[in-house]
Amino acid sequence: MNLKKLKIYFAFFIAAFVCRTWAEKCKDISLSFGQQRFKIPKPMYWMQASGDCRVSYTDSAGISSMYNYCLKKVEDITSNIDAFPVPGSKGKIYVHPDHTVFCSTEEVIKSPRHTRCHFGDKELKGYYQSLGLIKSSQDGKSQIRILMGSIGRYRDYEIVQNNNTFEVKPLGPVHKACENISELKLERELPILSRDGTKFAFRDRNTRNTVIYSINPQGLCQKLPVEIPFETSKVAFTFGSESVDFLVYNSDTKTRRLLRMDLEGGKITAISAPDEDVTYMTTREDGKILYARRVKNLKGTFDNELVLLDQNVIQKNKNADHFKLIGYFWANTCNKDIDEEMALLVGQRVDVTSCHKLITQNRSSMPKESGEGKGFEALAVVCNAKTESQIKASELEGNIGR
Amino acid sequence: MLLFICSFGHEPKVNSNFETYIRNISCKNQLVQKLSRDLKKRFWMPIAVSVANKPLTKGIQFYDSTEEKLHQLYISENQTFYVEKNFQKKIITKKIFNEKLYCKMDSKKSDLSIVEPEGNSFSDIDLHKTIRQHEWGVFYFWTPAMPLSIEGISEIKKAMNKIKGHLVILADPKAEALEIQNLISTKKISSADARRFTSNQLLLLDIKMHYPGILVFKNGKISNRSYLGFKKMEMYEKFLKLELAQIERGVF
Repeated sequence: MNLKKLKIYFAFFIAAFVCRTWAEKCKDISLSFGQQRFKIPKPMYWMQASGDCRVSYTDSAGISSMYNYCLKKVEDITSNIDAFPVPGSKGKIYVHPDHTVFCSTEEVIKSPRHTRCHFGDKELKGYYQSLGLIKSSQDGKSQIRILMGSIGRYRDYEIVQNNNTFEVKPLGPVHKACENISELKLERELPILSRDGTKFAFRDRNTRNTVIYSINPQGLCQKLPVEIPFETSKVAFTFGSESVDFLVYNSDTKTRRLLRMDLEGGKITAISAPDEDVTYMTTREDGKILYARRVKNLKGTFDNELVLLDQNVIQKNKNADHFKLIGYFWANTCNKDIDEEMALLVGQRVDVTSCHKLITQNRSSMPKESGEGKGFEALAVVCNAKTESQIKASELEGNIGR
Repeated sequence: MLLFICSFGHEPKVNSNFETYIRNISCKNQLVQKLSRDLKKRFWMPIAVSVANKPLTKGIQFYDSTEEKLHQLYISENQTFYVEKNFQKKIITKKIFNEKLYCKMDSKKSDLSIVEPEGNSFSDIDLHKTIRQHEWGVFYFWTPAMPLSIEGISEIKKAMNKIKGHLVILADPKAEALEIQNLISTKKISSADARRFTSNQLLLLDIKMHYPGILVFKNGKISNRSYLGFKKMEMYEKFLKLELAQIERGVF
């Protein structure tokens, strides 16, 4: 057997080994890389992240609960609808919309049926509330804004936190949101306040787009040039309010896909894969993304899962080309037909070990080093940057994995 | 070498010259099928276009992240409409191809595939029957996952009792059967309110994006404008009066 044939057979053998090794990672992107997944009892539409371990949600009986994914258990809280964690409180305070009641998470969890909440505001009541953190200081004081979506009104409050307790004081009267925009009226639906309290998102009933307004300190609104051009539901602003997450429904696949729009340029990127059926999403204060999804199980029925994604998974344009290339390497290895958005998604999610393997295996097909910055060395840097976040993720997985 | 042996995928065939792409197809059914195949993993959505005095038309909307444009394609009777829009939904280009597009008609595949009724469901056949038999009415959509949508059932019923239209209450087709059963047994809903919708036309109108939601129909047409979120009876009443007035003016 000559050398050339030997090389071919060797390469074939390596390829077969690699292909088999990758079999599991190729099956389903969400099974593959660097995420934590937890089985949850409910679809958790309109869930909200509370601190680093919990999400709040409401069940069909109209009763709020917290799901603690660190401990993998449901925690009973006050039985009102839609508990919304106060941003900046690190999960220590939440609010119910009915009379805007502020409650202490830890106190309530210790004794859910016997704890009274701290403060209620009879002047602001309704449902579909959303909260924003206007400012906070080192002495435990913060100013938050609460928008009551059902009535389109908001109010600011001062919260002073002391160890495990807190006090609440309204700051000024209840205001009508975007009072200077007269044409909104009945045409404004599903209003959501951004996490920094400076933007409102509404659904325009005529165009069916979700439009976004900024609000200045005087309470006057101005429409942003970017809009979400898809029919979508209640959106979720990221904590820095630089982006907004939303779902789009594909009636052919009957799944909902999670997308993110950058508010500066309007660029839209995918967070979930095309075949994932996402129920709802939220971001934590540290930027990590939580989304609930439906997954078919072996019995043919559906389970509900919570997925926790590292914030490094969703990058802005920086390194996008490198991630796409890595994603295409994955597709080549897995014999998948993917497009640009999917390649970016995969490349962002690949863990550091798989990243190095993919670029090593595909080294011969890479662009040359000079001038393009996509050569092996550049990609290795991108892979290495995943190291820190992946280590943290795998530590967490060791403690709270499925 | 590994790329070759493990075999590799390929870029989607739709190029940025969308018009050229669609012109190369001679048959409208084939066009829709080809677009569905080629665009299946990109940002494309099936859409339904409702034009006054015309039946609901199925189309496709394709989002081009490079050019930041929306491309819409829909076929109405003997014309093909191609529209390019920017993110503010302002039309950049609109073209109408007047060619008659011929193809072998496959009776199993029509532009709007009809979903047969199965059990306690609400299919396309039920939909067409309902909007033909009643002068006007409302479809109300709810899900066990959204408790306000359950509470809203009584509100829309009160509103419709006052305004005297036909009301159809429909449940999320993905709702867990056990949850619905629990709601019936605890008398939170009646069994008549537990009918799941499977109608493709309703799905095309993106009604699954939020519960609760309502759609109004009148004179055999369904309005494009859904009304989303929990509302009290008074708000439903106010909205319905305005909506019916718009439909009377031919605005769907």
